[in-house]
Amino acid sequence: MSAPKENLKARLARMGWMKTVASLLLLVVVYAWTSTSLDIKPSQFLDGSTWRAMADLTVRLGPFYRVNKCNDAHTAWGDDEPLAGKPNPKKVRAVCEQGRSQYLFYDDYWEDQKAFLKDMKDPLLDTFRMAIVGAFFGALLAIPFSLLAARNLVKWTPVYYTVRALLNLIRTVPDLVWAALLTGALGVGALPGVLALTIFSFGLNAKLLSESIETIDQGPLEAMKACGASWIQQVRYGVVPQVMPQFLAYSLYVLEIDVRASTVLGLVGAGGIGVLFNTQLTYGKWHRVGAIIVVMLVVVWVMDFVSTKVRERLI
Amino acid sequence: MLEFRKICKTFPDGTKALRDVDLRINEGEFIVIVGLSGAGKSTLIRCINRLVEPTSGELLAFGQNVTKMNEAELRKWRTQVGMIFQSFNLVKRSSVLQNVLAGRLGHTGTMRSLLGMFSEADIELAKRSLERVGIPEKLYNRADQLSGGQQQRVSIARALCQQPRLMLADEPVASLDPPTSHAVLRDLKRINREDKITTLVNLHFIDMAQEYADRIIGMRAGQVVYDGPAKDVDEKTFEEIYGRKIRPEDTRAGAVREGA
Repeated sequence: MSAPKENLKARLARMGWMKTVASLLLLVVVYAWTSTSLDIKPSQFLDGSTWRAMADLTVRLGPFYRVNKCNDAHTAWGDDEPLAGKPNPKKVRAVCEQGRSQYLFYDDYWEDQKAFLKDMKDPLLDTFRMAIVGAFFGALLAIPFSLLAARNLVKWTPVYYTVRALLNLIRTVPDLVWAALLTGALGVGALPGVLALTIFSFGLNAKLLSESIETIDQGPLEAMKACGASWIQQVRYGVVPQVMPQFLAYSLYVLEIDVRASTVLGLVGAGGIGVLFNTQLTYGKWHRVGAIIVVMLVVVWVMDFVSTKVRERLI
Repeated sequence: MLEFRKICKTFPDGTKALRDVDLRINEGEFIVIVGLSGAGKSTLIRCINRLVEPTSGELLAFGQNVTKMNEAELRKWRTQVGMIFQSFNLVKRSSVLQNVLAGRLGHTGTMRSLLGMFSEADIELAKRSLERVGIPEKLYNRADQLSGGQQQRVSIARALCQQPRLMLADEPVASLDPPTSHAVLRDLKRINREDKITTLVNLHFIDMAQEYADRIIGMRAGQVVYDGPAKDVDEKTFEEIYGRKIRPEDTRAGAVREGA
């Protein structure tokens, strides 16, 4: 008594397409995990070394430093140096002599943080300035290009496709890569940072705006055409009033992204608070890195809150 | 003054919207074009200001050949032709004044209009146009705050602001309720009488066509199948134009009873 063999199609139909997709996805995950080039071994998670390293980082971003079992005491810091966000040599030596490994609290943690906040002020303002200038010029540049990249406004398709391709090309390159490229060309400083943000904002804003333009009500344009209005007049009186709120909202949104992006541009030497971040990272001042992250978090949170409120009003 | 000579229009998808239309339209007439949807009424009206380009044939207007006009001439011709749409086609976020002034765009230089510098005379004209359609107090309201009937009046004011010689209306009352529909058509008729502006209106309500038209043009499948004075038209004529029996929804009054 053998049942007739079920063919693949019927089997798939019985499983349902959701299950099929799910099992395919699972196969992809297994493939990705087991492929050797990634070099991630399950043992790294099972023996806890990865988790321990991450927990260690979290602690050291706070007001603690780690003393290892080794002889840190006489290699790293001299006794006569003043404490300024540095481990206390006496305590380090004490721990080392006992041959233990331990987390210690920075003696001058709060004083150091206060002083460091002052150091952060100027780079932070620079970051803001870079973001604002970049977002502004990006938005300005986006206006003409988004008009040319809107299918409903440009009847001559070669223009439309060329501009679209250009915008896609610009958006393919991430902001950090633009900054790295421009730093290579122009040298270290805020200028490549601002230019990178301008290009990045331009690409993003032009894309969003052109898509907004494509969804406007075409009726008023037809009416104006029927009144004898030229193309540019139709744009000024038919398109601009319709997309103005979106344009302002997008510009704010892009500014928000720019503030976030400009914080890391310093990593490649393009100015702003990222430079400070990079320095502290290089010298292993993890508690200061932690402070920068907290300040950035507050800045981004405030920025997000304000721009969301304003955008709610706009649309 | 307006003459269609063998106008044909075939759309890229192969639809033949107009087939050899020959028409003469005289100065000052109030013409209603009737026909079922898809009969080519909209295409016919849009051929006049070339929002739709005729595939072949010639259109003569005031001694000019509209079909042969270049871009600049066409824009100049369009300034003389006011147009009203079923969906009003106002910029909803702009003020009523801005919407009415749009009618002056064809008369205003590019630089001045980009800067929004309309002349005093233009603004005066816009206000007068709004007075003529009975809503002068809505000048600074946003267009989307107005009711449907008021929005259609704004679009009539926009067309008036052009100081046109010819007025086209494409289903101007299809999205309005019966009392407002009659008010809008009365406005159009009054303007036609007072300013001697030749007016062409697309309608599919036969009772309204009979009530307002001087002359009725019937269209079916892209061809003119009836052309004559409105007083000679009766239900039988409409049945010939529509190619079927008249139903309640073919009249403004009946469309309401049906709850349409």
